[in-house]
Amino acid sequence: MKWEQYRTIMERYAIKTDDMATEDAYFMSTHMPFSSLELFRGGYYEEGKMPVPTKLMSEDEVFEQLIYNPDNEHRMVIVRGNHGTGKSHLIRYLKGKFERSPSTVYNPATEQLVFLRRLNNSVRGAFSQLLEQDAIKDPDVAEKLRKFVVSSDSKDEDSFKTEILYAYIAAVRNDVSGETYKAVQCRDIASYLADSRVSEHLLREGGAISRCYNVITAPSNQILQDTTIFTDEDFNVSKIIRAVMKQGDPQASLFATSLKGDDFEITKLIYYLNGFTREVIQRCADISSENAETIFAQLRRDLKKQGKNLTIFIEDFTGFTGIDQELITALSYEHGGDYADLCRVTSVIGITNDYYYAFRGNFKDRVTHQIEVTDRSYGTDEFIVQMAGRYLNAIYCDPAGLRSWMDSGAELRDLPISDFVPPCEWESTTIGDKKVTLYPFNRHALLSLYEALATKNPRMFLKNVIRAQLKEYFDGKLYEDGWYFPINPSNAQMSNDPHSSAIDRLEGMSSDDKNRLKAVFAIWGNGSASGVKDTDSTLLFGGLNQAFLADIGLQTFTGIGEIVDKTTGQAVTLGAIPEPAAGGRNTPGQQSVTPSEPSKGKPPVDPTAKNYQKFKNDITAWFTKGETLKYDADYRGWLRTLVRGDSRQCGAIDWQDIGIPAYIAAERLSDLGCYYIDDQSAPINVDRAIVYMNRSSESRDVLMALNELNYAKDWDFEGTVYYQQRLITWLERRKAEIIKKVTAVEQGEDSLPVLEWCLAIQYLKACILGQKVDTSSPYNVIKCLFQDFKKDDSIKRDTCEWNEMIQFVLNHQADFDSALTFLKQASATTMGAVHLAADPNTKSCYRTDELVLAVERLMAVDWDIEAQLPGNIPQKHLLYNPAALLKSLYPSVKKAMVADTQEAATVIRKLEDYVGELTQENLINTLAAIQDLFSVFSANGIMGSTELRVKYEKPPIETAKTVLKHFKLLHDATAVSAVRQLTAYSGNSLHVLYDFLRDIQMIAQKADQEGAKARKDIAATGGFDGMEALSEAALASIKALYTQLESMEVYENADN
Amino acid sequence: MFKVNPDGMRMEPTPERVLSVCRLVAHESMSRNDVRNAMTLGLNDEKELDQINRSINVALEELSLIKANADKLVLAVDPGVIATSAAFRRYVSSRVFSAKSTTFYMFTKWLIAQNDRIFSMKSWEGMAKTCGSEVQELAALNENAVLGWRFWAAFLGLGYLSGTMIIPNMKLRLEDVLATTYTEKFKYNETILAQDFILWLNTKMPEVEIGGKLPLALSAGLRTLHEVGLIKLETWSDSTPIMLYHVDGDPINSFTHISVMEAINS
Repeated sequence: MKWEQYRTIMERYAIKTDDMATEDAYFMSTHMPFSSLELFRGGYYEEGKMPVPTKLMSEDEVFEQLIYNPDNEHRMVIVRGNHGTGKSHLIRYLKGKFERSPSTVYNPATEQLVFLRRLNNSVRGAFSQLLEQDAIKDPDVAEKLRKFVVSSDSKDEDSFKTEILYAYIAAVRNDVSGETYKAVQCRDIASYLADSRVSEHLLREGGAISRCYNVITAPSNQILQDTTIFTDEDFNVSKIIRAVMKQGDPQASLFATSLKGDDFEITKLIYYLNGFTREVIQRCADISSENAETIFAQLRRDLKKQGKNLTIFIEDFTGFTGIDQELITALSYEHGGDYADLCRVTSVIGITNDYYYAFRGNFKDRVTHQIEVTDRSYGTDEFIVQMAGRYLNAIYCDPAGLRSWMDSGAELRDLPISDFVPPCEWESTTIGDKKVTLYPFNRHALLSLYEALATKNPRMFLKNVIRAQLKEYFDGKLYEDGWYFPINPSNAQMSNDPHSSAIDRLEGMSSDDKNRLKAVFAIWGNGSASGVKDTDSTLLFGGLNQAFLADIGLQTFTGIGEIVDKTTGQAVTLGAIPEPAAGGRNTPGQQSVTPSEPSKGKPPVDPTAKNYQKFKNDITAWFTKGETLKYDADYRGWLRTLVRGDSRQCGAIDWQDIGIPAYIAAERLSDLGCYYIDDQSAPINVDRAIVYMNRSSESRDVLMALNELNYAKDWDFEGTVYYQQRLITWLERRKAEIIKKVTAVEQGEDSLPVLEWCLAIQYLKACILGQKVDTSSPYNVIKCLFQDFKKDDSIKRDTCEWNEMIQFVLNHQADFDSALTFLKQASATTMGAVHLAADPNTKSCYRTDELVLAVERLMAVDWDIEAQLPGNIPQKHLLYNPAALLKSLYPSVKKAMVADTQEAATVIRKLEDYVGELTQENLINTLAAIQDLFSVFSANGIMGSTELRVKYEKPPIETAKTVLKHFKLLHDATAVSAVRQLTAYSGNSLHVLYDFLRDIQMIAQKADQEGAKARKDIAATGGFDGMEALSEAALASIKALYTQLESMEVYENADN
Repeated sequence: MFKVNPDGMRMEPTPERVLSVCRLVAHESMSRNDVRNAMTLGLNDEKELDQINRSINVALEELSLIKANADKLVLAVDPGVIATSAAFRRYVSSRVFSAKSTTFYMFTKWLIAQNDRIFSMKSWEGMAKTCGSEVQELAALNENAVLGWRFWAAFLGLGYLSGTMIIPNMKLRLEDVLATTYTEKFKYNETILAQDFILWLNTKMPEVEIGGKLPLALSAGLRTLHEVGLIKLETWSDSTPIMLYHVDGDPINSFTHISVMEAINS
C-alpha cells in the first residue's frame, strides 16, 4: 500500500482546506455540487430578519441565471455564508465553469474575466492579482501599486511596522472631526500611542500592528482570517497604563488616567483606531481614496472602449480592506445613463456574514443578488458522505490519472476511480454512477463525526474529520507500532455500557488500544461489541468486520462473551472461530458489512430522563476523561440505599442477621459524608469514608447500575443482569472493609462491648442519682437499667463532690440519653430495613442473651470496667461515645468517693464522741437516755422539738439497728474500689448518720440549755419542799447528757 | 418458616431472633415462658410475644436447634453451631436445603429456576402470584410468605435484597458449600474439570436445578467468587465447557476448569 503517497496527496493536494490554491485536478475531482443555495434579490441585510429566500437554487442554476448574462444586465452578486461553508469553493467552481463555457456564454473577445483568489487576499495580494490580470489600466496608478507591491515585499518588516504605527498616530493626531474625541483628546491619544511602552506593546508579535502588517502584506501562500486590527489585548494592560500614568509625558499620562479601569474607554479607543485602518492602508500604499476608486472605474472605461464587458469573481472580499468601499462603489455603478462610459459588470463577491453585517451600509443599495450558502446546501447526510467519498477517492487515486482527466475536460463520467482495496468488503458511496470506497470510514462514522463537530461546515469536516483521522490512519499503517486511529474528539461512548466496561476489563490490551476499540465501536459500529459469526464465517464485532479491527492494529481483540452463529442462532466458542485472514484481506464470498445504527439510548424527553442522561454523561466523563463528578451527592445517596437500605427497603447487606445490630448499621451509615467517591465535587474528608469508591471501570459500572435502577425504579431494564453482577462483585470486594468500618473492629476480632459500656453508664447514673438498682438477677438488672433515671430532689448529699457528680450527669444529659438510646435500640432485634431500628417507639424483642452476658460480666467486676476501656477513644463516634463518657465519669466518681469516705469517717467519729464506740449497746443506752430526757422535759413542762421526740419514741433497738446498718455499710466500703463505694454510698448512709448526729447534737444542746436554766431557777427560789427528790433525778439525767455534751465541745474546740 | 408445605413463612422469626433464642437457651435452660419474658424484658405485648413464640418454634420444631427437656428448653446442638452467625447459617443451610417438602425449599427452587424472569415480576407480591399460579403445590403462596422468605434467602446466601427484589447471586451459599464440604471430594488450589465440579455441586445444592446452562443465581455466584479470587474459572480449548447463564458483556460465560482456593475456608 502506498501509505506515504496517500498522506502526501492528502496534505499537499486534496485537503488544503484553508488554501484554495488546490490544483484544478483535485479541485474538480473533489468538488461536491451545491444544492439548495438560497437566493435573495437586493441587498437585505438585517441579521436574523432576512426574508424567505426568493428561491433555492443549485450551483448550475446560479450559473445559468446569474453568471451567464446574455442580456448584459448590471449584476452585483454577493455570495454570503459563515466561515468554512464553501463560498470560495462555489465561486471557484462558477469561475471555472464560466471559463470553460462555450463562446456563446463566455467569449474572451467580448468579456474580460477577472478572478481574485482567496489565497492572496491581503491588500498586496489583491493589488498583485489585479496587476497580473492587467486590470489596472491607469499607468500612474499601476506604477504606484507595482511599487507598493514590490516595496512591501522587499521592505524591512520592522520599519514597515513602524511606518504603520506612525500612520495610525498621524491619523489620530490629525483628527479634528470631533466625532469620537475632541481634537485635544486626539492629541493626547497620539501621545499615548507614541509612548515607548505602548508602542512596544502594539508592535509586539501578534499585536495590532503585526495584524495590520499581515493585512497589507501577508505572504502569498497565507490566508487572512481576520481584519480587525486593534483588540482589547492591545490596550487593556493595566501594567502599561499605570506606567504611562506615572512616567509618561503629561498628555499621554492624562489619557492613560482616563483608560485606567474603564472598559468602556478602552472599547471606545479600539473602535476609534480601527476606523483609521482604511486610511492607514491607503497611506502605506501611497494611494488615495480617489485613486482606489479610479482603479476600477478606469478598468470599466477601458473595457467599454474595447467593446468588452467585465465579469469579476472575488473569492474573499476581506482582502480589499482599505479599498473595499472604493471597489464596491466602482462596481456598483450601473452602466448606461450617466455612466454610459462604463462597461457592464457582473461581479460575484464572496463575503462572510460577519463582514457583510458589519459593513452593510456599503452594500444595501448596490447589491443586486445575494446567494447564501447554508447548511441546507451542505449539511445533508448524503452531501457529507459523498463529499468524503470524493476526497477519499482523490487521495487514493493515481495523481497522474487525475491530472490527465483534468486535461481531458474533467467530465464526471470519466473520473478515475482509485484501485484502493479495503481489507474486507466495505461501505462505499457513488460519484455519478461509480462506486468509491469510504474506507477507513463508514457512513455511520462520517455522520457521527460530522455531528460531533463544534462548527459544522465542510471546511471543519474536511480538516477535523477526514484529514485528522486519515493522518492517524496513514501514520498507523506506516509505522505500525504506534496507533492513534481513530481519534475520538467528542469522547463518544459505546451505547452498550456493559460491553464498554467489558473492554475496559480485557487483559493483554493497552489502555490506549481499549480506548481506540471503544471509539471504533462507538463511532463506526453499533455501539456494542457483540460478536456474530456470519453465514460465510466472517466474524463481526459490533457490526464491524474483524478484518477492519485487525487492519487498524486491534487484532488482539477476539470478542467478549459468546459469539452468536448467525446460521444456527447458537453461541459458538472462540476456538471455533477462524483468525482473520493473513494480511487482513477479505476472502471471496464474504458478505458486505453494514453496521447497524447504534441504539439511541433513552431519549431525554422528561425531567427524569434528562437527569438519567445527565448522570450518565457525568459518570462517563468522570471515568473516561478524569473529570470531577458533578452530581456525587446523588450517587452517594444511591450507594447509601444500596448498602444501608432506606425507610422502605432493606439494603444489600443483611446487617442484623450477620450479627451487626441494625441500629449500629443504620446510624453509622446514615450520613452521606460516610460515602466517598474519588474526585467528587463535595469537599468531604476521605478519612471519614466508610464506603469508598475509587475511579475504576467497576466503579463506573456500579454508578451506571444505580443510575439505571434509579431511572427504571426497579431491576427490570436492559442490562440488568450485567449491572447486578458488577454491583454485587463490587460490594463483595468491599464488604469486609465496610463492615470493619461500621463496627470499628478488625475482622475476626470481638465486637466492641458497647452494650456493656451503656449498661455501666446506666448503673453509675442510677447510683449517682441515688436510684435503686435491683441486682437480684441479670434480668432484673437489665429491666432496671432500661429506665431513664431522673434526679430526685428529695435526696440530699453531704459532700460537694457527690453533688458535682450529680451536676456532671445533668451537664451530660444528652450523652447519657444517647447511651440509653443505644442500649435500648442496639439490643433490639429488627425485622427488615435497618432504618426501623432508629425508631425509639418501636417495641421490640431483645437479644437478651447479649444483655445477660454483659450484665454478668459487669457484676463480676462490681461494675468497675475503667481498666477495660480502650486506651485511645475516637471523638464523636457512635460506638465509642459511651466509652468516652465512662472515661470522663470515672474520675468524678473516684473523687466523690474519696470525699464521702472521709466524710463518713468524720461523722462516725463525731457520733462516737456522743455514743462511744458505735455498738448496739451504746446506741441503745444513748437512745434510752434521750427518751428519758424527753420524759423529764415533758414532766417539767419544757417545750422540746416534737419532731425529735416523735422520731425517737420508737424502741431504741430499732433506731440502733438502722444506725448500725448504715454505719456498717460505710465502714465496709472504706477499703473497696470506687465503684463499689459508689454502690455502697448510693443509698445515702452518710446522710442517715449525719441526720442522727445532728439530732443528738440538737438534743444535747437543748439539754444543756434547760439544765442551765433549771439550776438558775433553783438558785433563785432557794429550793422547795417535796420537789427535791424529783429535781435531783432530773438534774442527774441532764447532768449525764451535759457531761457528754461538754466533753464533745471540748473535743471540738480542741479540734478547731 | 421451614415447615412442610403449605407454610405461611411468617416474617417474624428472623435469623437474628432465632439465633438469639438459641443463645439465650444455651446460656441458661429455661421455660418457653421464661424465654418470652426475658426477650421482651417483661413487656407483655401480644405482638412481641408472638415474634418470640414463632422464633422459638423455628428453633425448636423446624431447625431442631433447641429441644424441650421436661418443662425447660435446652440447646440441642453443639454450641459451636450458634457461636457465630456463619456457623449458624451453615447449619441452617444444611437442613433447609435438604428438606424438600417445605414451602421454603419449593419456592426457593422455583425462584432460582426463573433466572432473570423474576425481574419482570417487579415485586414480592408479583413473585408470589406468579409462583402460586404456576406451581400447583404453592397455590396458596402469598406476598407475606415471600416477604418472610426473603430474609432467610438473603441470610442463607441466595441473593442480595435491593428494593422490592432479590438480586440472584449465590456467592455466599456457594462459599459455604465450598468451605464445608469441598475437600470431601477435591483438594483446594487444584484445578479440576468443570464437569466434575458441577456433578459434585449438584449433590450439594439440591435447590439448584442444573441443566444445560447453569442458572443465573449460581452463575452469578461463581462469577463473583472468581472476581474476588476465591475460585478460578478457566477455559481450556480442548475441554467441554460448562455454560454459565449468559451475561452480555461479561468476560466469563463458560468454563472448562475450576480451582477452589484454600482462602475460601478462612
